[in-house]
Amino acid sequence: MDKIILSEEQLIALEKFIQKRGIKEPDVIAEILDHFACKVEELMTEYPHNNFETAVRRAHQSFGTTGFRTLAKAYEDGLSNEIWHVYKHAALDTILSPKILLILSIGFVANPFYKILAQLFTYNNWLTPKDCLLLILISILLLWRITMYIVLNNSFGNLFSFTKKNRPQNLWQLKVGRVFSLSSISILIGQFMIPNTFNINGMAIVCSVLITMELFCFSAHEETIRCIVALYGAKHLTS
Amino acid sequence: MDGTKIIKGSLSLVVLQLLQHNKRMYGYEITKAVKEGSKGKTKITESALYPTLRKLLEEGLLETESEIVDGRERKYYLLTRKGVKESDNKLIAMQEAIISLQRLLKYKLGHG
Repeated sequence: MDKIILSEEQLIALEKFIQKRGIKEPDVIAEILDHFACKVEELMTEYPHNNFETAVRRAHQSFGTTGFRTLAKAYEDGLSNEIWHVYKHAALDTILSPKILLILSIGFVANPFYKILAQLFTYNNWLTPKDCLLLILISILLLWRITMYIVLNNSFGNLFSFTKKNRPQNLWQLKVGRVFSLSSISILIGQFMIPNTFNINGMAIVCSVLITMELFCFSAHEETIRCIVALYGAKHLTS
Repeated sequence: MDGTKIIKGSLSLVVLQLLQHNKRMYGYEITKAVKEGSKGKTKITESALYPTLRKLLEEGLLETESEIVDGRERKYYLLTRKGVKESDNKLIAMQEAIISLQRLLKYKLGHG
């Protein structure tokens, strides 16, 4: 008997069936879909009295009690390991690339810039220069974080959420960034509670270092995602 | 005890050897080949096969290429150069292990 080949509609139905069982990652779906479709086709060819729905049910049963989860987990674990390797390389590449000079220069230029800004904003003596500096820092960090989130999410939506959901511990760049954001808030609180904790120069240096680190984290993270997209294709890009 | 457990314990070798003899295969094809190659005596489940394939990919013994077949994406697995060497090494190690086991099973203590 001729081998039955599933129609496009039947393949779409299988894809929906897989997605309904909690499998969202495009690569995992593609891998399961082919295997699943082969099995359904075989069952429909061997047992012509079986309709599509019965064959789907039987094919799903053959995946065992855990269904597609074992297959998906194997894929996710493998991907996470690869992501971790890519992260390490991306961070090292960022340090060794000319980009690091630009990042450090921004930090270096930011130092006197902060001081000037702080002086300008304290013209009416509403706040001390140090308080101004911290407020500027918090605003910049906040703006930076929002921009970073929007850029990464818009450009690499699926992959960004996938890596975030599956291996948050691997997103160390984001973690480091978070630590710096938190430390700047702590400094701000500390400054209000214990005035004169830092002098204006110390504060400007702290601000510059924080901004430099933020830039580095963003750069390494963006590089990582680019590498992953290059490795796994553009399927993860938000359409 | 059936031979399935023994074969499952050597699944990496089975996959490597199948790929060495067939150039490239996709997941479903591998499960079919194991079933047909063992005349239906051994079946490997997806939950055993895919983690093995992933592990071999991570070790750099396999690589993949994708193609659109019958309207869907199909991932083919192929041996890398390192994979070919490893496949040969594992086969030799397995053959030696079988010979040792055969000797061991027939071993009688010498008296005197």
